[in-house]
Amino acid sequence: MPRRRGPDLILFGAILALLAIGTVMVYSSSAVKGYVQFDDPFHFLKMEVIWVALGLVAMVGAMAIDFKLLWRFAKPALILAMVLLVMVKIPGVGREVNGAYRWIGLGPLSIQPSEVIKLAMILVMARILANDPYKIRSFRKGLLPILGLLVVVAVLIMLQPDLGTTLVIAGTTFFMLIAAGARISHILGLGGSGISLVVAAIVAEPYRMNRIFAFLDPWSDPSGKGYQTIQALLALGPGGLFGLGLGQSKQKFLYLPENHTDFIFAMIGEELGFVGASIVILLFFLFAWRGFRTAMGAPDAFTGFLAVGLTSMVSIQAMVNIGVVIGVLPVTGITLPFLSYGGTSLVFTLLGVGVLLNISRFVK
Amino acid sequence: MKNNYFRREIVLYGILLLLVAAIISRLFTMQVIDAAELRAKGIERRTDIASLVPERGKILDSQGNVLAQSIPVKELYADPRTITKVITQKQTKWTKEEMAQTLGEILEIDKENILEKLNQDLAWVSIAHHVSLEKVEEIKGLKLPGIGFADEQKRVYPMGNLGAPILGVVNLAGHGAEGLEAYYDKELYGTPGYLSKQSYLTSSLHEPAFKGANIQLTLNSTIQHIIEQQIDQLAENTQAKRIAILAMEPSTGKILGMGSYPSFDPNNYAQSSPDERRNLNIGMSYEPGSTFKIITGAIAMEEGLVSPNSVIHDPGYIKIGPRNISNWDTNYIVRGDITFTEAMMYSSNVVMAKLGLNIGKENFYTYLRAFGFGSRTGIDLIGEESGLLVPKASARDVDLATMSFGQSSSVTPIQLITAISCVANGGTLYKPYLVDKIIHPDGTIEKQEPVAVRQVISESTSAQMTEVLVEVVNNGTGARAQIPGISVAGKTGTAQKVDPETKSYSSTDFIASFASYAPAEDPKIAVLVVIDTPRGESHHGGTLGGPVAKTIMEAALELDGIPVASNTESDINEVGEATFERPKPQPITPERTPYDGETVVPDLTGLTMRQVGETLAEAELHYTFTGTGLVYSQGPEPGKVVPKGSVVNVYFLPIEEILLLNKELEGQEEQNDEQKLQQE
Repeated sequence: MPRRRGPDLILFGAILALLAIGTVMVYSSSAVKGYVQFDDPFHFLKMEVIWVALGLVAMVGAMAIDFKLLWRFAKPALILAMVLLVMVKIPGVGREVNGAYRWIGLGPLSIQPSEVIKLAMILVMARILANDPYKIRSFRKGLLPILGLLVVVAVLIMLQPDLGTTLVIAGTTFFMLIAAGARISHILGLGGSGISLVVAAIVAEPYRMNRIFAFLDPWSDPSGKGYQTIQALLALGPGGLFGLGLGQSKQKFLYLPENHTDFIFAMIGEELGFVGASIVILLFFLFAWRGFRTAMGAPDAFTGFLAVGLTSMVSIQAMVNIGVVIGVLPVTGITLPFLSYGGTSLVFTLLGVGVLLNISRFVK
Repeated sequence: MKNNYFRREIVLYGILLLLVAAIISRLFTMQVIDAAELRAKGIERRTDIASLVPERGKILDSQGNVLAQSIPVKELYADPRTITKVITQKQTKWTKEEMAQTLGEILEIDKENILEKLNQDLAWVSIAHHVSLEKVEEIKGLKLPGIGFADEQKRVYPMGNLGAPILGVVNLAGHGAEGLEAYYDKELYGTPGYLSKQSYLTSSLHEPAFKGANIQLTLNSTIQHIIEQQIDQLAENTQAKRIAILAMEPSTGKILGMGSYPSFDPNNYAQSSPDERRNLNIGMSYEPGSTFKIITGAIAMEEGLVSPNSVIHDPGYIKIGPRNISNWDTNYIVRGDITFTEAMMYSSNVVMAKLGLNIGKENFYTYLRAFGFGSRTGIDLIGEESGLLVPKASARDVDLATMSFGQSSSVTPIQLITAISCVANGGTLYKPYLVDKIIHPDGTIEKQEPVAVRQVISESTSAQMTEVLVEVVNNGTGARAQIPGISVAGKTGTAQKVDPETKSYSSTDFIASFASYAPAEDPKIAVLVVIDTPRGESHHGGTLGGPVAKTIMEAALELDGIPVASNTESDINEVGEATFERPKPQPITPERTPYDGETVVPDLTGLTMRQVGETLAEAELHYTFTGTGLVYSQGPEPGKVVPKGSVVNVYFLPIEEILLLNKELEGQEEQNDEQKLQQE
């Protein structure tokens, strides 16, 4: 194995810049809510700083980890994640938030199994693809097992239900398959059937149906189903080219729920304008570019696929989240990596990114 | 090293780049191209979703009595679409007809009207405003589908019609539409708040509403009450078209009372016409007639043209150009050489015309403008008129002459009383005002200080003019305004109205007016009474306005602690051998022990207005006064336990009448006793 160097500085810089913007925006958008709920405008900022610190510890830890360990842990991690996904449904263990069971309470802590499964899935996929890089060109031997695994995982996640995470995992899997050189005809076929599956899942459950309709025409039910979408649009619109200025958001006055978590991009658009929002998007693109470069320069197939998976996961999640905020995707309930208010999501993202940075240290 | 596992990285970049481009173009559309539209929508929604109506501030009189306050009520609305849905899905036992029937009975409104609204294809329709909270509870208990309530306020007037045209009205949206309510709407309204109605933000209230400030007036309810009482009597006795009475504190410009007839019931203002709601004191331009001679006289004196004892020849008429100007009372009676004081006493038009011509056009207009004529006084009310002077450029000698005795130019009552107050107070023109204090909810008090606009005449002119006006009351046309023991300054006015048909002065329609102030040496109150087109025995300003001004001034002086002679002991002794002993406040037995926030009504019998004010203030009670003199009766009765801040109605009678009544009562009792004896 080649000698370690420093991590990719552009990648590292993009991550830190997004974290910094996130922390500032979390404070700006949560001050009102903090004041109303906890009598302390800094409440969420304080918590955010703790989460960021935890996340950075996880990232630094991951930057030093031995890849052999990851190779070995891939399968146990996936099994653990699947168990956790099932546990969410057990009364008394799982916690309900907004009609969905996505959290497991462990005393004061709570964990989102979706976050664990995302990383576990990438590990397992990377391992399968690296085992025999040329098998992927065969549909039966290469693609079918991976597809089977994806369906099992997707079904487990949709039990919660969590459409956003399913989308991210499916997208990440496809990116990894494309990178691994699967046949284009296979990819297109899978893509088609995947989309029809998603549509079927949505139609099957009115909860998702409602959200879909809300997203297609939010103004049909402005104070109900379309509320979040509309409020996000009404935050972005007035932001204009340069925004209302930091801290000047009008929509954060409790008009836009989840404004410091899932809808933080709307706050960025409102306060920092089109220019600020575009900078954030470009930072994500910078991240993706350096991430894929890392993959290309990775020392072996496993770390290479791992890098593709991690980069794809973060990028796709960002796109889905922003897609929701700008009203082109239904409200799914996933966070914007690095920027949304803390929680396990931030820690797990930084853990994964730590691995990516770790890999970048071996790029020549 | 470029390894051979990745053949497709370019595809990944491509997909990502495509997505990024799509997102950015969408963002650009939203944030730059459609921004204005979305911005407007945002504002609309933020205010519409859930605004919290702040509690409107109270209007208090100078003593802290509440004149207007807001109580919480609800607007009842319906969502007809939901109602239709719920009924078709059989989720309720109600039908629309039954709902309309039941609501109609509870709200006491037409049920057909409600049914019509319920049958509309709408998601929101207002059914009724100002629904009391009791009725809201009753309706909520019925479990009607698709019915909701929105916070609203109702303006109530604990003192009834008192000061209605001054206070103005509040519209259904909760904003002041006229009078003080409109002028001080910003302060009274407060700051609205917003509440997110999203269920997952339960009770997460942001931007709470801040209630409006209370405004405390310079207006004194007691004086106001007496003014309105006098207006009612005048209206009844004279059948006048319009009446305006105005009381001002000359040394500050504070309005003490302001009455206007016709008037309206503010609790039911929708039934009134704009004419009834108009405050004539600021909204009526009229030719002031002889009361204006106070101004002409003061100008001439300030210019050194006359002193109280200057002798002026009054030939009974004066010919200016083609026109003969004569005195008001007699045609061509030669008074001969009279003093300026006498000219004022007899209200000589000829002498005033002479003085006006002597003052000269330029000078006259300069003074008129300095006194504030021809422009608004700037009083804190909506709807002030500016009066109308003959345009200076086109004013001829005859205009100058007629203006000198109050014809051909028009003024508003507020302009005239302001100018007369200036003559009374030593020569300073004060800006009239009605609001003394703005009391903000955080406890800060914004006190309005008197605004001295300018010095118009000298102190000595003021003093000399006052001397002359005291003579007018003591020995001239204003005799009916005399108050024993107090020197009163005043001037009558009886102006012919211009007949709109013939465009000449009418011989039957007059505006009778009376302007006065007292005590002359240190005026506490100036009163202007204006009666438009009185019918009956007299149309003379002194006859009609004099006694009215007297009653108002007496009450005000008494409130101010200045003993008025008719109520002093010596005066009482003349009434008869029975000496009147002013009862001391008796210790009273309350009907029960008052709880917190309650108080015992004290015994007020025999007290003066001033004593009543003090006694009731101590007991934290408000009051309304009727009549003048000493307390004859009161309601609620002494000893009753009432909530603090309740209103006690106090009835006064002049001492003479109390004594007479007492005698009659005694006589009756004696008779009764006799009857009893006979029966036994």
